[in-house]
Amino acid sequence: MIEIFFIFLSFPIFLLTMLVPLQINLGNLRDIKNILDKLIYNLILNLNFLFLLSVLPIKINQYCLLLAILYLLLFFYKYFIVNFNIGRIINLFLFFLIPGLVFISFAMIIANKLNLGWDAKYFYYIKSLFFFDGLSLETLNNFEHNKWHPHLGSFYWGFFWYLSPLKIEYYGRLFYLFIYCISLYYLTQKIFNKNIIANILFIIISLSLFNYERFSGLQEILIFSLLIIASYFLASSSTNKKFYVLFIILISNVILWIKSEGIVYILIILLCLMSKESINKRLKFITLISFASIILFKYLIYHTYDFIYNAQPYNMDYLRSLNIKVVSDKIKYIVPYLGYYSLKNYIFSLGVIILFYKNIFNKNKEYVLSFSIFTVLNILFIFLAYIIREMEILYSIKTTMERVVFTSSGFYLFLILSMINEKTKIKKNRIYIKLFNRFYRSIFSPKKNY
Amino acid sequence: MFITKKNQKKIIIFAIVLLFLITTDFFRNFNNLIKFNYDQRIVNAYGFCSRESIGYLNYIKAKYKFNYNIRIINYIHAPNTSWSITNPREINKYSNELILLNYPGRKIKIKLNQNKINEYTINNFYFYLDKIKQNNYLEINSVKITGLSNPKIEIIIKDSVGNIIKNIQITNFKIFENRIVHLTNINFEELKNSFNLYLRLSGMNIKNNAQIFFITENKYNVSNYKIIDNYDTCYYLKK
Repeated sequence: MIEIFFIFLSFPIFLLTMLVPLQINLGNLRDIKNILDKLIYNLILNLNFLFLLSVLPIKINQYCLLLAILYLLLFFYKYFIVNFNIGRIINLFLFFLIPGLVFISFAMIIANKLNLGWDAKYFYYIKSLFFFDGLSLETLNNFEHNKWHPHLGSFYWGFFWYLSPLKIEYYGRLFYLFIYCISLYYLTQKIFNKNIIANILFIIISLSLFNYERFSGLQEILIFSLLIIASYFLASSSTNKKFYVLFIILISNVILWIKSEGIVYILIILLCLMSKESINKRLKFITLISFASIILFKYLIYHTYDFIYNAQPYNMDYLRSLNIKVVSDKIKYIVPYLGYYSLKNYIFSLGVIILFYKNIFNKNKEYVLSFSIFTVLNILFIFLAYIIREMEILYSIKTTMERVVFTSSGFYLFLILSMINEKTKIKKNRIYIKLFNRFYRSIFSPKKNY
Repeated sequence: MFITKKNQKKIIIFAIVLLFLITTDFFRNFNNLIKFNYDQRIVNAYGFCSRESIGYLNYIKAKYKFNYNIRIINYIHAPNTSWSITNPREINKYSNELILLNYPGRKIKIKLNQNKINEYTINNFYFYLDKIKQNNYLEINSVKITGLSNPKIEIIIKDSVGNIIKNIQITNFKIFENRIVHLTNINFEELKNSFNLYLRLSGMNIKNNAQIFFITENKYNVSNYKIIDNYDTCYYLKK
């Protein structure tokens, strides 16, 4: 029973990462879009703050509890002392009621199944164990499989595992689930502006995409979720452009430290940003410098701790040995499997189809170009990754391609939802939709002013 | 007619929530969390002395309270199991103890699966490399010679990239009561890059329900060790 209690408690604990340090004005939920932005800004800031802590030579057990208490005090100070209002607290509860419910239901599945994924057993779990056991980043050098992937996903796992009073590993993995739920909730709410459809779609999409394997300690779900948020920032044409660019950079920093292929995704994101006409040259220059800095910082950290930067099965000797026959043989395998896994992942296939449609009928929309660049480079990356990989092609494809397709599919969710939004707007004037919306708002919309 | 508008709203909310909870098996999961504690759920997920045997590993770790790492050999092709008892502080230090999981006995019998017509394979053959000895042989049941050409057995061993690292052609085998037992004695100490093993038959047919085995002597013999703990086919041994 105590495990269940702590599962319920884990959601408000994770929620702290969205409520501080930036204050959220929960009194006026009509300004939902800005509230959502601030919540996500807090989350991204905290993810980056945790990243900074992870690279410092200090141990989790020296600051984990202290940090949690500090955040709790900050939360009470900001929401109970400075601006105390019981209505705001009720608003907060109502606002997170649906994502909370979804989180807890999925958390129950994770707590029951417990199975760790293959890669998690080899790499990510052991690394999180290092952090959980009070060892710092530099000691990871002793672990022979450290070289394959960066440490950040494992650090989050270890951090929240240590924070849980029962010290059971899956509490750390629940943080991955939290990011998944929140990113989907953010996107649906932003696109549908706290409409009834937003909540229904949030539930449907989170249900349809939920698969225990994704939360078995593998890291793809983190990149998938972060790409969902990044795609919205990238596509948005609002006045928050500077903030969005800043937070895309911060998201990219997190992605870079989660998986080795993170560098490819962030370079594609950078190219997407560079292609946007609405971003002025000065901002583009700053973005370029920022991306270069975060990549250089990774090199610096790897150099400092004497980590191997690239241990993946790619090398120049193999690249030179490739000939047309080998490449065409590999392509023969890649094409059908990529087709198969793309069709299996409805977000990816539907996203690419919608993009194709938008390229013909909505060419003037700025984000269409960004998404097209992302798609072309992403598919190119998938091909190249398997062609230049020194490994038996079929084994390599069968064990990894499904996850590679899934990881990038997060980026396309925006296209699908915005398409649904456009189509429903046309029908919005119909009387029964209006009535249904009014009815729904009367139930779920919290009191507006206190 | 007894349902007021207010009640209608409550019923709809309740229905949506209930539908979601049913879809995610919420009530069963809730019940399982109450019924089984964490250790029991671990056994349900990984087996006690079966599959990955994490239950047994957790049991001996709790019983013998060792703080060092121990080499684990699992005879069932499953992901690495050492994660469950890893001590990161002593990550590269191993004691002279050994844990054998799902120990099959002195001999290991590996079944080959049909890949194509007249081609059989042991996928992920690398898994067996640290468990087998040079003393190995092939066993093929339900053979019938076609008489069209010279019967031949070809054993091909490939590395992880797909390159052939060993090709053995066998023509001097004997068939006794539709069965072939041929000593192969492949030295896998020399073939450490082995990844997949393929077997091709030519000049002969075997029945659809025929089975092909690669039988090899186990590298580990429990009688050569001191048994600290044993449960079924799981052993905790000391040299």
